[in-house]
Amino acid sequence: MRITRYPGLSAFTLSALLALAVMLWNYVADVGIAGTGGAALALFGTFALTAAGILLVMTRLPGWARVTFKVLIALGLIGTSLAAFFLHAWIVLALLIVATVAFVISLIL
Amino acid sequence: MPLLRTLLLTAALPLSAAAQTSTDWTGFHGNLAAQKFSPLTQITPENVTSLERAWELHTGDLSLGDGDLPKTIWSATPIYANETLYLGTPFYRILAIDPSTGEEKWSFDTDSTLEALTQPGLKNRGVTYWEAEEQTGRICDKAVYIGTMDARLFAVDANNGVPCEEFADGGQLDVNQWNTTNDKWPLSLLQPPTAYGDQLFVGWAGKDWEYAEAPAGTVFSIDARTGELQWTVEFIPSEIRAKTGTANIWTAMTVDEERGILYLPVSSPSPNYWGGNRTQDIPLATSVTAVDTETGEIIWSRQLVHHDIWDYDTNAAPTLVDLTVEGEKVPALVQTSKQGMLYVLNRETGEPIFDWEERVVPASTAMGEKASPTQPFVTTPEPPNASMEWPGVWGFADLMSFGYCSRKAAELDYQGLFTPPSEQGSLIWPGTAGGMQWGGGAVNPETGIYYVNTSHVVQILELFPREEYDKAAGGSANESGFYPQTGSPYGFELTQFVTPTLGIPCWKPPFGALLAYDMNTGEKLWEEPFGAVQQWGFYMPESWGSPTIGGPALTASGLLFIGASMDDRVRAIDAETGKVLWSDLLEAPVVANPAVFEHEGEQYVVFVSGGNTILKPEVSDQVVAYRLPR
Repeated sequence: MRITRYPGLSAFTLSALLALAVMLWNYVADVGIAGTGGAALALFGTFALTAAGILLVMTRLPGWARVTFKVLIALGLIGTSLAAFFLHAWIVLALLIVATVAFVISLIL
Repeated sequence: MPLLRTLLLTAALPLSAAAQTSTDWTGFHGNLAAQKFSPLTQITPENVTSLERAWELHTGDLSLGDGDLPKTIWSATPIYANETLYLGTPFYRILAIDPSTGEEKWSFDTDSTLEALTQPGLKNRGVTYWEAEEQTGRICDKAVYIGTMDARLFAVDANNGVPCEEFADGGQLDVNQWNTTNDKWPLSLLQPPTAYGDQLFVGWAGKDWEYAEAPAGTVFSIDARTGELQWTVEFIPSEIRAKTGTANIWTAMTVDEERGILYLPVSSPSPNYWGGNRTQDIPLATSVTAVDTETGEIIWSRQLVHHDIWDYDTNAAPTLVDLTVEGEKVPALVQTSKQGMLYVLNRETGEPIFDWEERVVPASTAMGEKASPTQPFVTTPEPPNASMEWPGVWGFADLMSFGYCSRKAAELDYQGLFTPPSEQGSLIWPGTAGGMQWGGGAVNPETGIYYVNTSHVVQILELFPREEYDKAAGGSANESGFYPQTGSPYGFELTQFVTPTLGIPCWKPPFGALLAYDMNTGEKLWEEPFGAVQQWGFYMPESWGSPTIGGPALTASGLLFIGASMDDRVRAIDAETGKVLWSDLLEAPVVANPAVFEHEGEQYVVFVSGGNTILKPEVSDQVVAYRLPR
């Protein structure tokens, strides 16, 4: 099982997926930010993080590609968390913090 | 004891519009003195955090402007009277609502045209409630009125929404019948009339940016039961009425019930930003003017801007309060302004209570223009805009725009407050969307402590000679864009001074503040940044504040309730300190004052979340009522 092989990345991916789901709801229905450019940006960010996580967990990538994706994930986490902070999307931000912890664990393990 | 209290109040209710119980909210600003003050004390600084939504409704009268209809811009204050909450909508309908449940009792549709005839959207600021001084038992002893964009005033019975047949033509008065000079557009009735005794005082709105020659400002007193015209006040001298116009009253008015005086906040003449067609004195323009309610005769008038070429309309009803100044009781009024100054006048004489001086201001370089050599300045109370100088270039915005802000500021003409519009482009501080807007301030009549929100907005105004304008003109929005001033040698463009790509304000924050003054001395008690700016959904830090439209309501328990900011929030503020105690997120900015009232023993605070495109594009049709948990 690749999921058990990459517990940190798997937890990261699951958190990012949940953040994506909440952000999708925020984009559609959340009073204050629904339909805004900022919400769209955060939605894209959570989608990209989820996609990158799935890619890393589910596929065999060459070493340089894995490193590249991990750098992009780090940047994505910072940018998307900042967006969630300024959108006052607190649940998304909390999930991204969990994702960040899981991602750091994946780097250590 | 709430039931007993209600019964006692009801028994004591005189048959007079002027004597409604003070726990009601019978007008746009709560009472005729425009104090926005409620004596209620049920909701306090201690329990306000437990405030909850009693009900919420959507009127359905909403247009986002993406279809056939113009966008709705809804700045209504709900009216509580006759045990009912009355709302006017931007589709020009009256809704009568059960205050405890939010359920509709009845509605009335004017079937008015939904065209933006004079404004950049479908606007409404609510309705007027009136009770006959003599209750006859006939229909329409209690009535509700709503005006329309196409200048018709409708009257319906307050109990059931049936048209008042006695009122004008079957319940409908065509106010445009009195539009006799330069009738280029209808006299739009967006602000509800002011009811006093058996009179309705009717002002109107237009578009003073469109034409040099425009309808000349008037206020009509009409019989509340019959619609018959009683008197008219005119604000442009008759000999120049044909070549200029407006100086109208488009906002609420104030009445001193004890003295029988009506106070009128008079706007600027047309066109907005060039006055070569009106170089003669127009002493009543951009003024606060007191008239006799019985005759319409002018008692006194105080001009706040001479030869106004900045669109500094006097835009809010003055607030009446009795002050104790140096040991003497003084009947006063406090007049807010777009130009950022607070004028405190003796309301019997119009004389300033604190300092007032004429200062030399810059001359104009525009063709045919003769700017006034001096303008009035007051320094007590200290103006809310902190200083008469613009805040200066914001380093952060300058950095983010690669120096655009500082380069642009250096290009513009700026010589302080009252820098005239120019072909070069003038930096206007405060801009026409800045200073204080139609919500005005709130006062505790017992203490004379006065609260007001203000915007710090910098705008760029550029005059275009006619040929250039015809080539350059693009679209226009609400308080920004291109406007022709047809009939003058100049069109103009008005823009916010923001960075080109990201739209970051080029001036230093805060962008808005809330302030408290002791009006007995003019001393400022506190000033706090208020609200939060929102751009693309991102909320900026609250220490930056927000431009605001709309105003506060004050309670005797020491709470200020206010929406007004860009971030769609409504807040309860500690009147002692200015600190936010409670807030809730609505769908759009609340751009009027909330209503505070007692119904069946419970205190309610009701906000209309209508939005205004001056602040942000989002608009709504949401109404939310708050009360303490049962």
